[in-house]
Amino acid sequence: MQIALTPGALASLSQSRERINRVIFWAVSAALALCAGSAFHHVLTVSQPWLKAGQLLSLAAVIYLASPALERGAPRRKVDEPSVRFLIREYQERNRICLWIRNRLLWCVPGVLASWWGVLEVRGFQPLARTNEFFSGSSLFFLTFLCLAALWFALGAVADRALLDAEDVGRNLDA
Amino acid sequence: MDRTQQDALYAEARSTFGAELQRLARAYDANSEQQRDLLQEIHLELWRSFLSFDGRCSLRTWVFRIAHNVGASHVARSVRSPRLVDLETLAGDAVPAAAGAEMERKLSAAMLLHLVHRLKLIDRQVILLYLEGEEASAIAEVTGLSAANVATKIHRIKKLLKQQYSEGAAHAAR
Repeated sequence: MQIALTPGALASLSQSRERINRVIFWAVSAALALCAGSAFHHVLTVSQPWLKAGQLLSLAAVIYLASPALERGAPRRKVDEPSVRFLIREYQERNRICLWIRNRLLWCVPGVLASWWGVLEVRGFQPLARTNEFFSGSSLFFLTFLCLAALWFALGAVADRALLDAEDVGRNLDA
Repeated sequence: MDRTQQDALYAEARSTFGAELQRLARAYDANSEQQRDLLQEIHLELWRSFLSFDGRCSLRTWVFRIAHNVGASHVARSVRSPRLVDLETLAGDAVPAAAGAEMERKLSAAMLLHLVHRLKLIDRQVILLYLEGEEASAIAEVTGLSAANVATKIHRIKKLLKQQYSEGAAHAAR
């Protein structure tokens, strides 16, 4: 396995990675802006008050969740640290990020609940609708809550595992 | 540090430690495509890191720290990584039989890599640095462990390797 990289090639590779990161950053920002714009449009055009509130809460949740991540960007790793400290930091960072996202999932709930209540009012309080259409009735909201719950538990499991890994590595320092 | 010094340091590191970095990449990933990607990542991080290199440690320590940290990060982020074990667990495992001198040599190298791939990251770093001929104090500097801790791990590694190879030879002799 031969690899012959000159400093010039590495500089180009580094610049190309940074370009890709910038493109991803702008694409994600654009997608979030579109979602926010769509939610804002619904706030203005929808007349049903609970649906309006649901869209407004969802818009606020998206802005609250996305803006710190976009502001901060990806953290730069300190790869020149001694290995034990580097690994502990990596695992602790993974734990922190997973818990940060998980705990903020709760911010999505008020918007979904308000939208659900709005849909129920529009349909005349028929929560157990028999329609088979995926995007009508309460099935979409049940699915949304199920997905949020699954994400909550998955992120929690990953965070716990990362903490255990950090403690395991840390035991090497105590030994 | 300016770009010229950065490039010069990288060129020196690449010519001095190139072969060791290749072996390290093989020890962190069993898949040849992933090894290539990992090796490229190591070289990239190494080159980037030389902008902030201030001579606080030897070039060798710096290079091995960067390389092992990138390798460990690669394993830690992999979704397909197998369950990793420590040295004590590995010492209790059965050894495959060897047959014929050439087969035995190939099997020994493959067996060693297989053992290394199963190890937890810190134990893996210690064994790899030990196999590259590093002293306990140098290994301690790269990993951040105490010299006493490293010496204990090296003692266990030597015992493990002796046990694995003598059991493998015993199988071949039957």
